Amino acid sequence: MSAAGLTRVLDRPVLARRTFLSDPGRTAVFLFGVEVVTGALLALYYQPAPEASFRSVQLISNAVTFGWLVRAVHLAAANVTVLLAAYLVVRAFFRRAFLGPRGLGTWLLTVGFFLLMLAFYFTGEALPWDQDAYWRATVTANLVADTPLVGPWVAGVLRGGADMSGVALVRLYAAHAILMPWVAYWTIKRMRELMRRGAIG
Amino acid sequence: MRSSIWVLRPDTDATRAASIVDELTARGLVAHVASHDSTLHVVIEEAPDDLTPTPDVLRVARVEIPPQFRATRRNFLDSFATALAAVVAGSAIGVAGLFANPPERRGDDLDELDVTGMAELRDHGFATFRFGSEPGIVVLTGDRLHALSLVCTHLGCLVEWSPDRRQLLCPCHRGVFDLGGNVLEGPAPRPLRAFDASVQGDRVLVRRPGRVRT
Repeated sequence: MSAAGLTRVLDRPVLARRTFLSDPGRTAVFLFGVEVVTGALLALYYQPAPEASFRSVQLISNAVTFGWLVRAVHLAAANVTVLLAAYLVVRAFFRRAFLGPRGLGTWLLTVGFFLLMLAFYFTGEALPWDQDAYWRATVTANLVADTPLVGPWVAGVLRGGADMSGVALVRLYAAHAILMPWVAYWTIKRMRELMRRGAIG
Repeated sequence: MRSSIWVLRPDTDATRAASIVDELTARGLVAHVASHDSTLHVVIEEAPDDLTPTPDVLRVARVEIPPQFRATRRNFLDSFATALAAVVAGSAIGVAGLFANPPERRGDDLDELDVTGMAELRDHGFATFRFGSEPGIVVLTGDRLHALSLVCTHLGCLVEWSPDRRQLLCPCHRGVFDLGGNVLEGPAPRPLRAFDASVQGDRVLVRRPGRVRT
């Protein structure tokens, strides 16, 4: 960032005695950027195959320079993002943001953002494909399968078969690294538009 | 608006200069003490024209200080924040660059290891090696080569080759293995991991058996 750009950011007027939570959109953009950068770095080494993924994660953690740091930052920012999304839902609830002309849309968007962040978390958690990851993914898929009507179909799409398999790992990875980042991008963009108009926050 | 520099009389001391600055600051002006050729100056930024100098002032100079050289808090914060952002961005780029550079090959990537020469092996009867991070041993009996990992399958202690007993002994929990790696005594749940040993020319080579290439 150039000095002029930085000055523009610093000179941006904000309300007095407010914290970074008063502009959660900007915080979300920052966290999203951190996740994209660290995620792209992790993708340089990660291999989404059952026999290779755990070893590639271990390689990142133990052998690659600053690999532990990149992994830790990716995880930490993910944790904060989930907390931020939960905060937005709680805030929207207590501010009664679900009322009013745009209420339903903003409420669904906020809750959708939270669910998307949870989905990011669960898909990301499965990627090392160790015992922990495998069984957590199995449990999550079973939970999804218990959803009325569409549950079994969604679980089948997630798993790529009747059981957790290598296909499931590739699908979780594709969802985590290709599909969901775009959904998150458009969601955050839309939320920031609504925040600027005062519909959220 | 131009700045003023008040050149103070030579007998004025720093305490007095500081109190002049305090008075000016109290009136809402930006001022600081400077010294040049062992003479004290008070620099007042954007000084109004009707500002009357105190009796300590020998001479008043009106100068135009370009905005970027004015020692305002805002200028300082701007350059400080820029420097901080540059350091953070620079470290992030450095970390990313180092991260992208793949690590040196370790044992995990090793396909084959040249352990020793056949002549040396005949002399000693055995030779130890390190296959990446895993220690191993090659033992020659007659014409047969036995290549085994030295890592005990119980708790990962290093077993020792006993040439007298022709067995591998684990010092930690009295595990005993034969040359096939099989558990003869002790708590080890599995045989020692085996390597494939072969002779090419005069060299003894080991490789990991059944390794899935990825």
